[in-house]
Amino acid sequence: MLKGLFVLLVFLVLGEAIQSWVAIPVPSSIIGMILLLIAFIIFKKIPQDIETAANKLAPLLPLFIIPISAGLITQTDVIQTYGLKLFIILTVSLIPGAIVTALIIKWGQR
Amino acid sequence: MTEQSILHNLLQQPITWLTITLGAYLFGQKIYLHLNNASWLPPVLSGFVLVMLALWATQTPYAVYSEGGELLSFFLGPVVVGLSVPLFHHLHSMKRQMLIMTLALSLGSLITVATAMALTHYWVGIDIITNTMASKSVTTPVAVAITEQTQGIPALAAAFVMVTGIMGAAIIPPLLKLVKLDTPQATGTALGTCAHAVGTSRAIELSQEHAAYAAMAMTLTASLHALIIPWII
Repeated sequence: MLKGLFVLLVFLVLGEAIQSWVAIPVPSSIIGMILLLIAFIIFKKIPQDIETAANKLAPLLPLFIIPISAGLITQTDVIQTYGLKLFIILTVSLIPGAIVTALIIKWGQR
Repeated sequence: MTEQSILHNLLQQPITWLTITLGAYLFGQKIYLHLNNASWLPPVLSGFVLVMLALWATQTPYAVYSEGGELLSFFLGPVVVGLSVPLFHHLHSMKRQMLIMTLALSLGSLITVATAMALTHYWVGIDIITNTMASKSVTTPVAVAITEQTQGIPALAAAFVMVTGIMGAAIIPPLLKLVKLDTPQATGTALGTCAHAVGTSRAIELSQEHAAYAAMAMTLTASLHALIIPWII
């Protein structure tokens, strides 16, 4: 578990280094993820420690998100003024996306 | 020290807020189990509401809270790096459908995002909110990371993602049934593409096949968006 977490952190730091070195706008964690994915593809397998660490961290995601969401308390003006509009936008915009996705998948299956 | 100043002192400590957040999450989880995993009240939503109530009741500024909260949100980084694990498994098991899936989820998710951004632009008209909309279709840790790159508001992004997930999980399956596109592959992919992790947990309830396609679509959409969106905005 700890060994796996260590590897995840190493790749995160690596992502951070590459991001500031190349100055690309892609999040450093995503760069780290892609580097690790490339490593898996090269070695054709996932070391057990890394798999364990990733699988133990993932279900805790909601806990890690709460502090960020709580920042909404600084956005009460936005919510009061635009809350309903934003809710409608978020819901309506799902419809074309879901239909297009499903259409392409169904078309591809024929 | 008087009782009041002890309490005041405690409310300034990061460890107090870390404890409150953990407690709120555990309580939220308990409610969730009690309601038979009701998808409209995930632990992240109830936990968030409880933390907000605590902040509001004690009049604690967010800056003070986040010193403790950051200890938890720091873990979003390693979680995103760890997404490479499911991605590797999916790449392996779905090699043949890879091309069509990538086409479906990139077009589908970009249409959702473009619609949301266009509507926000004309209806709300505040650039920072429009930019924040760009990350609404991806799982929260990635959305937050994207928002930091695009100068959006991370807290707002997290809220957009939450609403998108809950609404998507609720409306996508009946919507696709209505237009007769509801194969397990199509519904699963649409759930993962448009409603990320919440949609994926809805897919898990539908069937294993739904779940596999949703999980694959969710991880691929997140990586694609993280690679593309910061360049556009």
